[in-house]
Amino acid sequence: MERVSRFFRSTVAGPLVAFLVVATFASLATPRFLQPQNLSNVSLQVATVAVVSIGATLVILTGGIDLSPGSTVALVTCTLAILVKNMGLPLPVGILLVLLLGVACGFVNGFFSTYGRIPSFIVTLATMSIYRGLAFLITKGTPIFSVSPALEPLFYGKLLGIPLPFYYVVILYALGSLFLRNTVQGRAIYAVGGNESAARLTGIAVNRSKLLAFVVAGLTAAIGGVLLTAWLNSGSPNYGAELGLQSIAAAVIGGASLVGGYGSMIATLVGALTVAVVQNGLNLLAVPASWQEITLGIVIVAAVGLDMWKSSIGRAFSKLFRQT
Amino acid sequence: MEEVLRAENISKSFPGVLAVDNVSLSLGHGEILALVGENGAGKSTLTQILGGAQRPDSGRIILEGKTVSFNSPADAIRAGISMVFQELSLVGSLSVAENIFANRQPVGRLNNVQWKALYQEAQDFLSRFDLDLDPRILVKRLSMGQQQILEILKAISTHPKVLILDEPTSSLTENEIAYLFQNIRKLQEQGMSFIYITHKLSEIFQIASRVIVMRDGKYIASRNVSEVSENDLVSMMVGRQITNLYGAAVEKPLGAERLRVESLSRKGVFQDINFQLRAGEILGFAGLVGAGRTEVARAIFGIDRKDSGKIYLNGNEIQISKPEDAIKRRIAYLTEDRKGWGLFLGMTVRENLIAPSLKRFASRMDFLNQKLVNEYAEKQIEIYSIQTASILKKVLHLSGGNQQKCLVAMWMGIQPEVVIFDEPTRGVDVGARAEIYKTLREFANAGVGIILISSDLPELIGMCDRILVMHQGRIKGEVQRKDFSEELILSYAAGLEETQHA
Ligand SMILES: Nc1ncnc2c1ncn2[C@@H]1O[C@H](COP(=O)(O)OP(=O)(O)OP(=O)(O)O)[C@@H](O)[C@H]1O
Ligand SMILES: [Mg+2]
Repeated sequence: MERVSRFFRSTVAGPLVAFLVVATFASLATPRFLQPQNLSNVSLQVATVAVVSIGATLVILTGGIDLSPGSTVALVTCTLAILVKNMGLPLPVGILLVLLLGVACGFVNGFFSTYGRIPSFIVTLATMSIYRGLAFLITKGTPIFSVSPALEPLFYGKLLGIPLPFYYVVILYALGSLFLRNTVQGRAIYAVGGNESAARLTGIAVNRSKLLAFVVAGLTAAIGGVLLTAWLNSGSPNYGAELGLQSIAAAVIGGASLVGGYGSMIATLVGALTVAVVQNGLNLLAVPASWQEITLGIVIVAAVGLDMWKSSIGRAFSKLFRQT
Repeated sequence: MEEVLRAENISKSFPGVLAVDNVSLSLGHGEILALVGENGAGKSTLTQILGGAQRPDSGRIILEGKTVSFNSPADAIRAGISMVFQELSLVGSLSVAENIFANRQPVGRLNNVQWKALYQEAQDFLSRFDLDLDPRILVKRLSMGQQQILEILKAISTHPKVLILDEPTSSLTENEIAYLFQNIRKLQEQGMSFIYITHKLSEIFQIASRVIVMRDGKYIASRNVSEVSENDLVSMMVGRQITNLYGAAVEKPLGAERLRVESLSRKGVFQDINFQLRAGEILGFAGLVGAGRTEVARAIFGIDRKDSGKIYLNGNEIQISKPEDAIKRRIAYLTEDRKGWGLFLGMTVRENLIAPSLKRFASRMDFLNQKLVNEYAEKQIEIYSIQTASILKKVLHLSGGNQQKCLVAMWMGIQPEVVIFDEPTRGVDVGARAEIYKTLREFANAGVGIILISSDLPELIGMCDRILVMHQGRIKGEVQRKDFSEELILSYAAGLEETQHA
C-alpha cells in the first residue's frame, strides 16, 4: 500500500497515466495496435526520438534548451552517407567519425551558451539553422540512398526475437539514468538547474556541467542520426526536422521543467513512448499528416496540463465526493 | 589569542561605488567577531572577499600565517573559510541530504553516489545538532527558518576554521536564534572562529566578544563588546545619534473602519480569522514563524485562495480574487520574501519603483512619460534614502537593506488606504529602520490603516496600537497598547493562554 501511494506521489506517475490513456485509446481504436508485429514497429519508431530525448532531458535539467538536435541528426545522416558511400570508409570508422561530429556540434552549442554567455535558446536556434545548412551544403541538397548494405542489420536486426533498437534504447536509458541518479556529476546537473548560484557557491563547476549536458546532447543526437541512417539506409538534409521539438516534447511530457532542476530519464522515456504511440496509432488509422501534427500538439498540452493541474483536479474530485 | 585570519588593506569597487575602502581586520582563534554597519556599508562585500565569492581589487588575505587567494567559494572552503551568504543558497528541488553534501556526496569505487550512506551521514549530522529533520525531504518544503538553519549547518559540515555568517538570524524565530547561538558557542569552544554580521545589535551583546564598525566602505572602529553600549554602536554606524528609534505615537482618536475581515479560513492554513482595522491604526500581527500570519495577508491580498470569509473595505464588502483587485482598491502588500516575490531583481531601481503604479505615468496613448518617471524615481530615492549610484542601477546590485527600502518606496506609489507590511525591517539597518518607522507613522497619521506582521517583538511593541497574536492558524489573543508585554505576547504565541475576549 505504502509502495502504491509512494508511486502515485512520484514524478513518473503523471506521465505514465498520460501514456496509458494514449495507449488505451490506440488499442481501442484499432485492434492492430496491440499485435506483436506492430508493437515491434513502435519500438523501431520510438528508437530515434527516445535516444535524442536523452540529451534533450539533460540540457533541460540544467535549465537550458536545445533546439538543434534535429539538424544535427540531418548533418550526421548526410556525413555518414558521404563518408561511407562516396569516400568508401569502413562503416565502423564512419560511425565513429559522425559520433565525434555530434560531440563537436554539442560542444559548439554548449560553449557559446556557457562561456560565450549567449542564451542557449538563441545559440541553438542559430545552430539549428547552421547544422542543417551544412547538411545541404555537403550534399548539394540531394539525398544519398543505399549507403551501405552493412547498415540495415544495425537497425532491423534482432536478438532473441526482439529488434535491436529496443536494446539500444534500454541500454542508453539505463546509462543515462545511472549517470543522473548515481554520479556526483549527475547530481550536479540537477543542482545547476535547481539553483545556479547556489550550485556555484557550493563549488560545482556550473559552466562545465552545462557544457557536458550539451555535449551529451550532441552525442545522443548523433546516435539518433546513425539509427536513422540505418533505418532508411540513406542520408538527407531533410531528415530529422521534427526531432528537435519531439525530443523536447518527450522531456516535458515526462514532467521535466523548462526552468531546470526537475525531470528524470525514465519519465522522459515514457514521454518519448507517448509521442511514438500517438504517431503509430494515427498511422494505423491512416490519419493524414496534418491531423497527426495537430493531435501531437494536443497531447503535449494535455499531458503537461495533467501534471500541472493534478493538485486542483484532485481537490475538485475530493470536493465532489464530499458533497455527494 | 592566536590569530587565524588577517585581512590587510582590502579594497573593492563596483561601478559608481567604492564598496570596501582599504579595510584591515584580524580574527583570533575561537573568537566571535561581530561586523556591523548601515545598509551598503560594505559588510557583505568585505566578507564575500574573505569567503572567495568576490575578488578584491587590492589587499591581502592571510590565513594561519599564509597568504591565500581564492578564485571561488570552493577554494575558500578548501582552505578552511566557509560562508553563509545573506541570500539563501540552497537548491529547492533537491533533498536536505543532497544540499548538505552537495558536490561531496559519499561515493563508491565507480564514483557512484552512495545514497544509503548519504542519507545516513546526513541523519547523523543533523542529529548531532539535535535537528529533527528528514534528510530525504525536498528543501523547498522547509520553512524559511528551517532553510536558514540548514544553510548554516551546511557550512558547518565543511569543518571550517573560520565561519562567516551574513545576517543569519534575519528569518529565524526566537527559539531558532537561541538554538543557533547555543551551537555557535559549542563550536567556538571547539576552536572555530566566527565573523558575524547582523543588524540586530542586541545579538552582539549575547554572542560576540569584539565588534567592528564599518561605514561607507571604511573601517571605523573596533571595540570589545564589554566596553560599548548599543547607542555607541549606533552613533558610530550612522555618524549621528538616533534617540527614539520607533518615534513617538501621537495620541489621536482612531478614524473610521478601514478594513474588516470576517471568518476568513483556508483549510489547513488558517481558521476563522476576524479582525477590524481602523484608519490611522497600526495593527500588529505577532506569532511564531508558521503561525499563518503571512498566509492570512496573502489571502487578503488575493495571492492565495481562501475557502471562506468576507472582507470589507470602508464598510463595503469587496471581492478580491487576485492581487490586481486589491491594488485597484488601494490595498498594498509588502512581501517578506522580497527576492522571490517582491522585487524585479534584474531590473533597474527606476523600473521597480514605478511598477505597481505604472498607469500614473502613462499618457492616454499608454506611452510612459519618461520625464515624470525619472522625477518620480529620483524623488522616491530621496524620500526613502535609498543608497544607489543612480536610478538606473539594477536592484540586484543594491545592498539588502536598500532593496527593502526600494520595496517600501515602490508600494507607497499606489497611495494605499491599507498597507500590509510583512517583516518590513528584516535585514534593515537602524538608520533606515528609523526611516521606515517614520514613514509608517506618517501613513498612519494620514489615515491609512496599517497591518504590521513582524517577528521582532520590540518593533511590534514600539510601533503598534494593538497586537493580534496568532498560533497555529488561529488568532489566540488580542493585546491593547496599555497591556503590551513580551511575556504576554509570547505566551499567546506559544498557544499557552486563551484570550478572554474574542
Ligand atoms: N555586484 C555588485 N554590483 C554593483 N554594486 C554592488 C554589488 N555588490 C554590492 N554593491 C554595492 O556595494 C556597496 C556595499 O554593498 P554590501 O552589500 O557590501 O553592503 P552591506 O553592508 O552588506 O549592506 P546590507 O546591510 O544592506 O546587507 C553598496 O553600495 C552596493 O550597492
Ligand atoms: Mg549585506
